[in-house]
Amino acid sequence: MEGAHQMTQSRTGPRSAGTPASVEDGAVTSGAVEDGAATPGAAGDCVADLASFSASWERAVSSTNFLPAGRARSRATLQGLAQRLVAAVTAEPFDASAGYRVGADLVAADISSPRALGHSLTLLHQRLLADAGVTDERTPARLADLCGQLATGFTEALRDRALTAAEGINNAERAAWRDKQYALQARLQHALLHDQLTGLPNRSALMRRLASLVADPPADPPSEARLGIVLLNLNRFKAVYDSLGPTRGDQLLLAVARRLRALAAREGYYLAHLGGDEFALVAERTTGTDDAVKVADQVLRALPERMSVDGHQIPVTARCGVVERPAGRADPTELLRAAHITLGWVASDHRTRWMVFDAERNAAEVARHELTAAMPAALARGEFTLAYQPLVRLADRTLAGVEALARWHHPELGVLGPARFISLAESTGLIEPLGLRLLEQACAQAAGWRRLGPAPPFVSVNLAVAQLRDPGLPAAVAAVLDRTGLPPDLLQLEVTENAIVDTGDTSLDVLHALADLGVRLAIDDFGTGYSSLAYLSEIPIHSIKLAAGFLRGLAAVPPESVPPESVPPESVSPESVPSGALAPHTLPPARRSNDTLVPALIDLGHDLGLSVTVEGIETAVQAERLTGLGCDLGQGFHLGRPTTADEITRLV
Amino acid sequence: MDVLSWVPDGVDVTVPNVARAYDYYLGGYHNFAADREFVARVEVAMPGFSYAAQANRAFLGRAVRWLVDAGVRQFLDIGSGIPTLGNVHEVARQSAPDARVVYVDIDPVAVAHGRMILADDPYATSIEADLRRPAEILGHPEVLQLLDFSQPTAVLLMAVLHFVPDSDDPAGIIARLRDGLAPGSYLAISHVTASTHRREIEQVRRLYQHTLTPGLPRAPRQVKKLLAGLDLVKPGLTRVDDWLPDSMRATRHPQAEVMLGAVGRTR
Repeated sequence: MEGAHQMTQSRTGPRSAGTPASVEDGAVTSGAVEDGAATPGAAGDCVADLASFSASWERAVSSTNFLPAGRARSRATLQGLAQRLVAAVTAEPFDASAGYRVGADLVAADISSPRALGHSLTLLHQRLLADAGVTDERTPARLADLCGQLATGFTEALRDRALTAAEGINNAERAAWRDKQYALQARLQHALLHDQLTGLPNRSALMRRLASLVADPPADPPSEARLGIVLLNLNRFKAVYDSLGPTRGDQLLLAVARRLRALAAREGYYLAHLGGDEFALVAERTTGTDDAVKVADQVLRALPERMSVDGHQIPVTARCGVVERPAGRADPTELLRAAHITLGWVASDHRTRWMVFDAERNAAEVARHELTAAMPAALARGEFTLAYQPLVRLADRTLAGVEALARWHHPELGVLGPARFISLAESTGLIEPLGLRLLEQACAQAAGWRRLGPAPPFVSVNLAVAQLRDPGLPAAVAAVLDRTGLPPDLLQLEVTENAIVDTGDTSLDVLHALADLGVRLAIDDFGTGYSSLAYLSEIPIHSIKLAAGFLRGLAAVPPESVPPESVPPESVSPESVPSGALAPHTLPPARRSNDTLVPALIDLGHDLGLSVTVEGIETAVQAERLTGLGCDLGQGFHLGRPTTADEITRLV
Repeated sequence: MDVLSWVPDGVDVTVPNVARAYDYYLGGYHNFAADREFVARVEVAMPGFSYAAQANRAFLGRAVRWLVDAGVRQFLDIGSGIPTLGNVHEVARQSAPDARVVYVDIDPVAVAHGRMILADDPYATSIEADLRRPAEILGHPEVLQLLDFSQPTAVLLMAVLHFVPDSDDPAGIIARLRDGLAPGSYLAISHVTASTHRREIEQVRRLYQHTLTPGLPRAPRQVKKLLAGLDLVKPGLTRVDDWLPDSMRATRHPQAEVMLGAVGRTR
C-alpha cells in the first residue's frame, strides 16, 4: 500500500515535533483534509462516521465549556478538526505537527477550558480511528504522537491567550488610572482657576490671562496693542449680603454674574470673578481710554437698578475702576493694583460710578503712604521739632506769645510743614504720642523763656481731634506742666470748631478739665468750620483765632467812609458772594463782605469776653486796619515768620 | 462643586468588579485575583451560578443575530463589561459586516480595555458613562459620531438593570432611552430574578453588596413593567435559555432560570 509505504518513511524520518519552528516547517493545511477525505473507497463512510464522532466531541466539550460560538458552529469546527487529524494520521510523510495546529485552533474557536482538552484527548484516543475506519496497525502510535502535539499546541495557545489577556487587563487598569489622573488634574486645575460660586475664572486665571496678553499681545504689530481692564464691585454689598443672608446673597452674585457673562460673551470681553462682589472684565485691542470707559459704561448699563432675588427686589448699583494702557508695557500685577486703587477712589467719591486710573494722583498717594510708614521711626529718631511764630499785641506791637508749629526734618525731603504729615499721623493714631512729644518740647521751651524776663510769652500748641477724644489728655497735660514747671496760664491749647463738634461730649469734658487746669483755650480758624455758635456759651474758651481768609477783601479804611453806591457791581466776584439758602438776598452785595464780618466778629468776641487773634497778616495796611478795629493779637509774615526758639529767645 | 475624590471609583483592582467577575464566569482571563476570589464565593453561595452567566452570554449572541436578521445595523451595548468572549461587534459582523457598535460601561478599566481592543476599528468604540444618566449616553459625542438615531438602533441592557435600584427609576431610564430611538428600534434586556433559587440568590445579592455595583433581583412582573411601551417580540419575557434557542440547544442548567430575557420593539 502506498499509504503504508509513506508511513514507513515518515516513521523512519526523525521529527522534533512541538517547536514553533517545526510547526511552520510542516505546513500541512486543509489540503490534507481534502486529500484524506478523497481517498477512494473510504471517503463517504469516513465523512459520515466523523459527523457522528464530532457530534460526540461537541457534546463532550459543551457540557463543561461555555461555547460563545454556539453548539452548531462549534460542532462544525470540531468536525473540521477531526478530519484534519484523520488526514494527518494517514498522511505520507507523517507530520505530527498537524496535531499542534489542531490544539491551537481549538483554543482559537473558544473551546479552551482545561476540561475540554481532557475530554478531547480521551475521546480522540478511544474513538477517532475506529469511527474513521482507519485500521492500519501503525496508526495508534501516530495518533498518540498527534495527541501529544495537540496538547502542546492547545496549552501554548491557551498560555498565549492568558498572558495576552492579563497584559491587556493590566494595561487597561493603568490606562484607566492615567485617564482618571488626567481627569482629576483637569478638575483640580479648573477648581484652582475658577470661582466656586459662579464658575467664572478667578483671580489666578485673570493673572494668567493678563500675563499672556502682555507677553503675546493680540495685535498687529504687537507693539501697538493696548488693553483695558475694568474692575467692578457693588455699592453697599456687605450690608446687602448681611441682610439677605448667604444663600440669597449668593443668588444676587449669581444674577450679577449672569448679566456680566452675557455682556462679556456678546462683546468678546474676558470676565473674571475675583471673589465676593468683585468682578473684572478685560478688553483686548482697545485704542485708548475711551474704549475702556465704554466697557465700564456697558457694565453699569448691564446691571439693572434692582435685581429680583427670591422674590425680593434688591437695589444694586455697581462702580468701576478703569485702567487702559499699552499691552506690551503693562505688568499684570500692577494693572490689577491700579484698577483696585481706582475702584477705591470711586468708592470714596459718591458723585461718580466710575473713574479712570490717574497716575499722578496715585503717585501722590504713594508718597503719602511712604511718608506715613516712615513716621514712627522718624518720631523715635527725633526728626519732629517745633518752629515758633510770634503772636503780637497789636496795640503796642510787643510779643505776647508764640504759636508752636510742628516741623519734620525728613532726611530726604527736607523740612516738612504740618500740612504734610499731621493728617497722616491722625490716620494712623501716631498723633497722640507725637502731639504729647511736641507739647512737652513747647512747654519746656516756654518755661525757659519765663526765666529770662518779667513778661514771658505764652506758648500756643495745636491739639488734634484724636487727642481731644482721649479722656486721659488733661492728666497728660498736667503731667507735662508739672515736669516742665510751666505755669498753666502760659500754655494755650488751640482746637478747631470741627474737633469740638466731631468728638461730642467727651471733648466737652476734656475741655472743661483742661480749663480747670488753668490752661488757656483758643478756637482756631474760628468761623470757618461747619459748626453752630451755640458752643461758645458752653465751653470755657479764652480766645478765638480768625483765619487769614477773613483778611481777603478787607479794605484799608472803614467802609463807612466810602459811599456804598460808589462800589461798582463788577468788582464783586461771584466767589466772594456767600452762597446758600440762608444768604440774605435783600442785603446789597457789597455789604456781605469781610468789611462787615471782621468788625462784627471782633465785637462778638469782645462781647463774650474773649481775646481775638487774627492770623495771616501780611501787610502793614492789614495790621493798621485790625489795630483800628480793636483786634487784640496779630499773627502773620508781616509781624514775624515762624522761626527757631533761639530767635524768640532774642526777642524776649 | 463636588469634593474631589482622590481614589476614583472602579480603578481599585483589590475590590471585586462585576464586569471582570462576569468575564471569569465565562472562562475569560481579563480579571484579577479579587474578581476570581469573588466568583469563588458566589459559586459557594450558589453552585452553578456561572451557568446563568453563560446562558446570559449565549442569549446575547442569539439576540444580536436575531436583531441583525431584523435589519438592525447599529448597537448600543450599555453595561457591556469586559469585551471578551462573543462580543457584539464580532457576532453582528458575522452576517452584517457594516454593523456599528458602541460599548458603554461605568467601569473605567473595562472601558479602557475596550478602547485598546477597538483602537483600530473605525465602527466600534467604548465609552465610560452611567446608565442612570441616559441623556449623557444618547448625547455623547462619540455615540453621535458612530450611531444615527434616526435609523433603527438596538440598545442592549444585558444583565445590567438589576444594578439599578428603584430609587434610580429604571423604568424612567428605559423610557428615556426608548424615546431617543427611531421607531422600529429595539431594546434587548436580561435581568436576574429570584422566582427560583430564592435563598441562593439572596446570598449572592449579599456578596454583590460588597462591590461598587450592588444588585437586586426583580420578579418577572416587575421586569415586565420596566418594558412598558415596548412591543415584546415572541416569545416575550422568558428565562434566557428559552428565548428562541438554537436548533441545537445548549444544556438547560437549572441555575439559568434566574436570568430572564426579552427583546422589545419601539413603536
